[in-house]
Amino acid sequence: MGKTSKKTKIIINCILSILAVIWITPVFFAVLNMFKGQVEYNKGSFWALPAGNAFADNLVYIRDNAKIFQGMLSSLLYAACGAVFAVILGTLAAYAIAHLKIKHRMFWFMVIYSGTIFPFQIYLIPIFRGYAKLGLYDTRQGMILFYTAICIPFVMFVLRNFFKGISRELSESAKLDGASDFQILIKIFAPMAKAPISVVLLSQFTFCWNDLMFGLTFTKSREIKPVMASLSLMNTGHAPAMLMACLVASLPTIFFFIFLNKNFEAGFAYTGK
Amino acid sequence: MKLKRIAALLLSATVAAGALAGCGGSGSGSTQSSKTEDTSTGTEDAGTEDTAGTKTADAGEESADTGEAVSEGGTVEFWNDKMANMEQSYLDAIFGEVKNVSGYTIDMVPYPDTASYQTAMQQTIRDEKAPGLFTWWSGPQLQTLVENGLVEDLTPVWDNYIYNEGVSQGVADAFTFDGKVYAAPWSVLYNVVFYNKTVFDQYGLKEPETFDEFLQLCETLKSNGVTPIALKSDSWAGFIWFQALLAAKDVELYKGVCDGSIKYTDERIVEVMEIWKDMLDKDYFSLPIDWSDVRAAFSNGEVAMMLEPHVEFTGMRNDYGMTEGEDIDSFVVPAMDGGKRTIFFEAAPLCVASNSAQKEDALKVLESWYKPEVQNAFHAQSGYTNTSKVDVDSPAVQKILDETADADNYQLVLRFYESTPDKLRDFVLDELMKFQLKNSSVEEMLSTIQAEADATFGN
Amino acid sequence: MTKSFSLKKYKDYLYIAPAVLFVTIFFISSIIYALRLSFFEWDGFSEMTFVGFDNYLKLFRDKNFLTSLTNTIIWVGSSLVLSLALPLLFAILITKSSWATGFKNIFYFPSALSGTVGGLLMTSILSIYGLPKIVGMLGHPELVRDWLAIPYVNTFVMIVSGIWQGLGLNMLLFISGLRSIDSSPIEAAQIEGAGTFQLYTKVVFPLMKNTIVVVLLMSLVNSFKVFDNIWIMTKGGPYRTSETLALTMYEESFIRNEFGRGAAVAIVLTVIVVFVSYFNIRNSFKED
Repeated sequence: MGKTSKKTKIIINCILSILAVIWITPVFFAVLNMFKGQVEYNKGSFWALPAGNAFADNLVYIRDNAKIFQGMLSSLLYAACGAVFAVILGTLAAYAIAHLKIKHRMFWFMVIYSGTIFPFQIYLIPIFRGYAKLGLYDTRQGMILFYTAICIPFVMFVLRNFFKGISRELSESAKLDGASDFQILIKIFAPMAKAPISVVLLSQFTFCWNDLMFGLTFTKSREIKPVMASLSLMNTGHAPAMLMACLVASLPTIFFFIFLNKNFEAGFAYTGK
Repeated sequence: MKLKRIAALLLSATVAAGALAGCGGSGSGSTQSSKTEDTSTGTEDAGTEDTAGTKTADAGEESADTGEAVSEGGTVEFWNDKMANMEQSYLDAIFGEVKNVSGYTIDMVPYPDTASYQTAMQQTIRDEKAPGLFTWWSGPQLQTLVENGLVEDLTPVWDNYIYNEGVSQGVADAFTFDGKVYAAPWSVLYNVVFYNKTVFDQYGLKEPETFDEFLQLCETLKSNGVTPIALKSDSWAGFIWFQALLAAKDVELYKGVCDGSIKYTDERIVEVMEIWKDMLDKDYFSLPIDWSDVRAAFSNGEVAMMLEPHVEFTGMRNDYGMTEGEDIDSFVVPAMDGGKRTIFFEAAPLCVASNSAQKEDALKVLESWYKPEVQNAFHAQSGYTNTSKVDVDSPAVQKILDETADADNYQLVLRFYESTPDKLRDFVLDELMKFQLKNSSVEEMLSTIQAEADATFGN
Repeated sequence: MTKSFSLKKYKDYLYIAPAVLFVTIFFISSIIYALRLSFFEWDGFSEMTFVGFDNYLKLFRDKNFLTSLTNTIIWVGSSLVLSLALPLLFAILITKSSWATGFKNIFYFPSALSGTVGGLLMTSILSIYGLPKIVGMLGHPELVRDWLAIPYVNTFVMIVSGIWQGLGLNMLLFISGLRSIDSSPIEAAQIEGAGTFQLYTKVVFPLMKNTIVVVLLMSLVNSFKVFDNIWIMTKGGPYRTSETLALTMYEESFIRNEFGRGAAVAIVLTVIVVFVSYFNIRNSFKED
C-alpha cells in the first residue's frame, strides 16, 4: 500500500524500535527477577540485577509447590475445546445472520451478542446454582461448556462483520451451481475467513486460558482446577517463583500465537465495499 | 476435521438441552431448600475420593510411627479463604499432625478470591455437601450464618476441649451470640508495633515507656531522615492507628464510639484526633502505601515502625530474612496517662456447617484441633499462637504472649473492625483513609462520620 | 411448494440455534436472575426481602456510586482514544516499517500474558521502588510516592499502564485490516496528489470500516466492564475513589454482602452498555 520514502521509513523504524524497547522492558525485568531469591527480591529494587542465581531453586519450587503443570493440562483441554466449539457455533450463527434468510436478524444478533454485554460477575451465582443441580460443578464437562458459551458471542460478532463484507453474488453463483448453504459456508466462506477465524481462535483460547474468576468458582478439586486458579494459590511472598510460574503458564498462549502467526497475514481479503 | 465438527455439534446440542432443563429451575428459586440430585453426587464423590486417597496414603506413613489408632478416621473437607497462599509443605505438616491426632484426613479447598468463596459457600451451605469445616469472618458476617441456623453451636467443644488448652474468654466472646459460641478460633492475632531494631540501635532509641517518649522517638527518627511509622493503603486499614490512639487516651472512648454511646464529635475524640493530625502533619507517618512497599521500606530501614498482627514476625522472617529479637522487635503503644496499655486482638472464626454430612466428623476433628501437637504445627508453619500451651521458642514472640497474659499492665480489646456495625464501619474506614491521605480535616472527618453514626444508632 | 419453503426457513434457524441456546441458558438467564435480585434486599444467606426500586433509588443518592459512574465514563472515554487511535497508529507504522513481523510480535507479546500477570508486573513497576524511584533519581523527588494510592490520579495511572497489555489484539486486527485493503483506490488518490493525512482519513479508513467497527464496539464494551486491572492494582481504593461500575458491583455483592444492591449496579451498567451498543449495531444493520 502506497510508497514510503526512505527517510520516513528510517524515522518509523527508529520510533518503533524505541517503543519496542519500552514494551519489552517489563518482560525483561520479569525474566531477570526469576534469577533472584525470595528475600533478595523483596528487599531489593525491581530494577536491580540479581546477585546470585536462584533460577534452579525457583524452578524446583514451582514444580513441587505450585503444581501448575496439572493445571496447565486441564486448561489446555478447556481452552482448546472452548475456543474450537465456540468458533464452530459462532461461525454458523454469523453465517446465518449475515447471509441466510432469517427474520429479525438484528434481534438474533443482539441476543447472542448480549453475552458479552453483561458484567461477568453476575454469572457466578446463577451458573453455580445450575451447575450444582446438574452435577456439572467441579467437572471438566462443565468447564468446557461454560468456556464455549462465553466465547460464542465474540466469535459471532467478528465473523458476522467479516461475512457481511463478502458479496452476495459469490454465494448466489455458487447456489446456481447447486451448492447447499452449508457447502457454501464450508467451501467458500470459511476458507476466506482464515485470518479472522485465526484471530478469534487465538483471542478466545487466550481468554479461556487466562480466566481466573470462573475457573476458581466452578471447580473445587485440584484435578479440575485450571492453571490460573492453581497459580492464584501460590505464595505471593515468593515473587520470583510467582513470576516464573506466571511466565511458564503463559508459554502455551505465546506458542499458539506464533503457530497462527502466518494466518493473520492473509488478512480480511474481502472486507470493504 | 469434519468428524470432529459433527461430534462437537452433537455433544453441544445434547448438553445444551440438558442444561436448559436445569437452568429453568435455577432462575426461578430464590431460597432453595437442600435438594440434591443423584447425578451430581456421582461425579463429585469420584473427585473427592481421588484426593482423599492420595492424602490418606501420605498421612498413613506418619501415623504409623506414632502408633496411634487412626482406624476411625474419615475425610473432612475444610474450605477457607485464609490458607490460599500457604506453601504446600506447610499444609502437609499441619494437616499431617491433625491426621495423627484425630485420625481424620483434612481435604482442604482453598479460595484465594472472595467472590468465588462467597458464591461457593452460599450455594452449598444449606446442602449436605457443605464442607464440615470452614473459616468465615467474625462480627456481622458470622451473625448472619448464626441467625439462619447454618453453623453449629460449639459451646460444648469450647467447654470440653478449647478453654483448657488456654484460649481466652475474650476470644469466645467475639464468637458468642445469645450466650452460645458458634465458632472456634482459626487464628488469634495480637496487634503490636513492630520496630526495626537496627534503626533503633543506630539512633540509640529504646522501646518507649510513656506516650511522650513515643512522640520523642518519632521526632528523633524524623530528624534523622527516617520515616517513623508506615501506613498501608488497603481499604480496610484505616482504623489501625485510630483505635490505637483512642485507646492510648482512654479505652472507654474507643468502646463508646464503637457502640454509639459516645459521639465521634465528642470533644475528647476531637482532642485525640488533633494529636493524630499533629503527628501526621509532622510526617511521623508515611502516606498510606502499598503493603509490599511498607514491608520493603521497613526491612531496609527507611521506615522504623509498623503496627501489625504479631504473626508478622513469621512473614518478615520468611520473606525478608529478618530475625525476631535481633532485627525486629515489638512494643505496645503506651497509654497517654501512663495506665494500662491496650492490645487489640482479632480472631478469625472456624465453623462447622450444620447441614453438612460431615458434621459429626468435623466436631470430632475440632476436639483435637487445639491439642498442643496440632497447634505447635500451626505455630511452626505460620506463627499462629492460638493457645497458651503452644511451644514458643522465640523470646520476642513469648514477650508478646506474656504481655497479653499480664492483666495488670495490659488489656485485650477486640479490634474496631468487628466491634461496630458493619455499614457504619465501612463508612468510617473510608473517611479515616481520606484523613490519613490528608484530604480532610479533623472537623470534616468527625462530623461526616457522626452524621452516618446518627443514622446507624438512631440518635 | 409452501411446505418445502417453510422447511427451508426452519433449516436456516438451525444455524443460529446452538449459539442462541448457549447464550440464553448461561447468560440471559443470569441477567434475568440479577434483574429479579435487584428488587430485593439479600445478604446471601437470609430470606430475601422485596424492596421495590429502593436499591436503585439509594444508588443514585450514593456518592460512591456517582464516583464510580464518573470513573467508568473516564475509562470509556480514554479507551476510545487509547484502544482505537493508538493501535491504529501502531498498525500503520508497523506495516510501513522494515521489520513488521518482529515489531508485531513484540507489541503483541504482553497480550498473551494473563491480566493477573500483567497486573502483577505493573504493580511491581508502579510501586515506590519501581518507576517512581527512577523518576525521583531523574530529579523529581516529590514524585516518589505510591502513585496507585493517590485518589483520582490513580485512575489515569491505571489507564496508561493498561495500554501495555491492551494494545495487542486491536493492533493485530488493524494490521490484518490494513494488509488486505485493495490498493487501487489508494494509488489513484496518490496520483491525484492527496496528502498522507487526507489519504488515510478519506481513503484508507473508510475501506477499513468493518474492522474499525469491530474494534470500536469491542473496546467500548470492554472498557465499560473493566475490572481485572483495577482489582489487582487498587481494589478500587483508596476510599473507593478508583472504583468503576463493575468493581462497585463486585464490592457491594461479595465484599459488603448487599447482593440486591450489587445486582442493581449490574443492571444499570447493562442498560448503559446495551444503549450504547444498540446504536452502533443498528447502524451496521441498516446497510443490509
